[in-house]
Amino acid sequence: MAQQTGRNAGPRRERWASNIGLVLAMAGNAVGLGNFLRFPVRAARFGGGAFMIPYFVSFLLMGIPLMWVEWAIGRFGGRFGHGSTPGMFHRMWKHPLAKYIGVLGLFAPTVIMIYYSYIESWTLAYALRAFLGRLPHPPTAEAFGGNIEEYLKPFSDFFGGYAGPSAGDAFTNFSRGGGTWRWWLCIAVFLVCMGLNVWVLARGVARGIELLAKVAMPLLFLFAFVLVARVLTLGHPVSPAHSPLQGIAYVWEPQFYLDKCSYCGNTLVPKDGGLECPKEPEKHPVTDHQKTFVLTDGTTWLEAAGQIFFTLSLGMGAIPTYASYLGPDEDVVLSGLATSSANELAEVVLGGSIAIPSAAAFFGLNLTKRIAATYGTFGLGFIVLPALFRMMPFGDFLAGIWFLLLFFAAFTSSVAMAQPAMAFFQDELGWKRETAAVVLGLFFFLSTQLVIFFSGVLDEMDFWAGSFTPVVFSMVELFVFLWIFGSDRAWEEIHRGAAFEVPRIFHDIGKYFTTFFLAVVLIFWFKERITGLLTASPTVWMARAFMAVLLLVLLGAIHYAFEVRRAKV
Amino acid sequence: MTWKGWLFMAFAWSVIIALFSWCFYKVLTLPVRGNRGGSQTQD
Repeated sequence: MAQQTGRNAGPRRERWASNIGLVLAMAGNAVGLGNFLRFPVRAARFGGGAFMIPYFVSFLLMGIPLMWVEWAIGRFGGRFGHGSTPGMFHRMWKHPLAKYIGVLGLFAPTVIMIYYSYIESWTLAYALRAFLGRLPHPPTAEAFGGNIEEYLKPFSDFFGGYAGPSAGDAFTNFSRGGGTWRWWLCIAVFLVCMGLNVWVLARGVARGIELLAKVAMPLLFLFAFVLVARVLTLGHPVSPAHSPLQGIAYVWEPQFYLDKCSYCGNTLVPKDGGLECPKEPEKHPVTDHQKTFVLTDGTTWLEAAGQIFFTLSLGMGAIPTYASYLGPDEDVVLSGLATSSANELAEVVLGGSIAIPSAAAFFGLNLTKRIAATYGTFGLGFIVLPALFRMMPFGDFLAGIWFLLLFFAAFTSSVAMAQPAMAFFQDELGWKRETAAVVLGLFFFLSTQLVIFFSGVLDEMDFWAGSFTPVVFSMVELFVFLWIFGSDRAWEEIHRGAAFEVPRIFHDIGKYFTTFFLAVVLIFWFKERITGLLTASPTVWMARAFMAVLLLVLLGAIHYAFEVRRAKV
Repeated sequence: MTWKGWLFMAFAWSVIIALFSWCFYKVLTLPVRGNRGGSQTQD
């Protein structure tokens, strides 16, 4: 049973084995599919270099302060034996409701893990098939005949055969892939993925998660460097008019004024020498488009702030959990900054130099703009990129390391999403680590069936757990830590054992500006998304019901855990 | 790409690479505090 340490009131818990292992694990949590797919598309669509201004402002004034806050909350909770946010909040705020508010830090990562583990299995399956030369091999001549849609169709069908048209009905659509996927193979790969996650979680923090990060993260960066080197040396593979540098320019050239559709706000894309709305080209005529100044455009700021949230995995509960395995006097300032910088290197330097530049080299800039606007994150990663690699020498190998890169990115993130629930079971309910891992694995496997069989469930879960809850929960974290726990105590807590001192200005930035900034983001979020929330399909309502039940179960578990704890005391 | 694009990209890349290098150098040379080892399981 738990033992008491000398200095602190909490039980003896696992610890990270090394500083570098901790930072790599944290970076593994942060670096995910968003770095390599979501970021370049967002940057290109919302003003390129001009988008980077709100992006870096959000990173500096919201991302880094929140990162330090989450690390400090986690290390503080860990001192008392709490590895999940209900217990951490309970220690910071002596209010009966505090622990229940902390449920958001359990709810978000658990729901994210339900669909993320499934996407993770796509990356592994694609990597295996690429290395075996079993991805589609249409004649590349079709790509240069002008009909790109025709060239991409086998890849699109292939993806549809796995993930379905809306990334939700995979196993009901096998025939669409022309028999290229067998249902048992999909199930087997998903089981392997889940098994790997359970295995890593059951091995614990140092021998499982940290070891995984020490292997996966260097490989991820190596693969990314290889791909960037390959893409930037493509030259002019198709036409002297097309080169990867045009893609780099598309991501980085500051465009302070964007042509936007006045109906839906989407950035217009080139079409036959003119422009058209990528969303509803027929219903939204371009005669009504408007020039928008990027830096005063709310949508651009919202997208930039959202990208920072998404990419740094803020407000998802995983960072406090990882930080709870630190010693009470171990640095969080340098480690938090190192994690953020590793994530930015993966995103801005590497992520921005693979997908879009390679598309520009083969398809030209105008078509790349259309692709970025219409194919979306999954389409870019699972349809367009494999099609591009097909046109390069050693294409199957390059596609293989691309999907292996995505698999490592997803794997290190998925164990991070599962760890808050692991910590809750172990710390608050007293379960053995292996038991907790197996129970969670079973729960995730069964819950993911909803995502697999019902179209729209993935998107709905992603909206509530991956977009909405993190913003709300970050607000709550800031409020509890800086306003209730107290900003001076929080400042002292952040600096305990710090490798360097944070400039004092960040005290006020965190307390006032970041809180205000988050509130604005949240208001914009509501304004943009609230319409249409009530008019949803039955499967969407089913997903909502599932999440509501899960939230209630988690609240019940928190109540039970703390009642038992109180009875023992 | 215009010179403004190159300049902006060079600036952003430089800052990120410098920050990453400095942070990881510091992390690798950070003295080990607390009770490391990772073998202190709760059960």
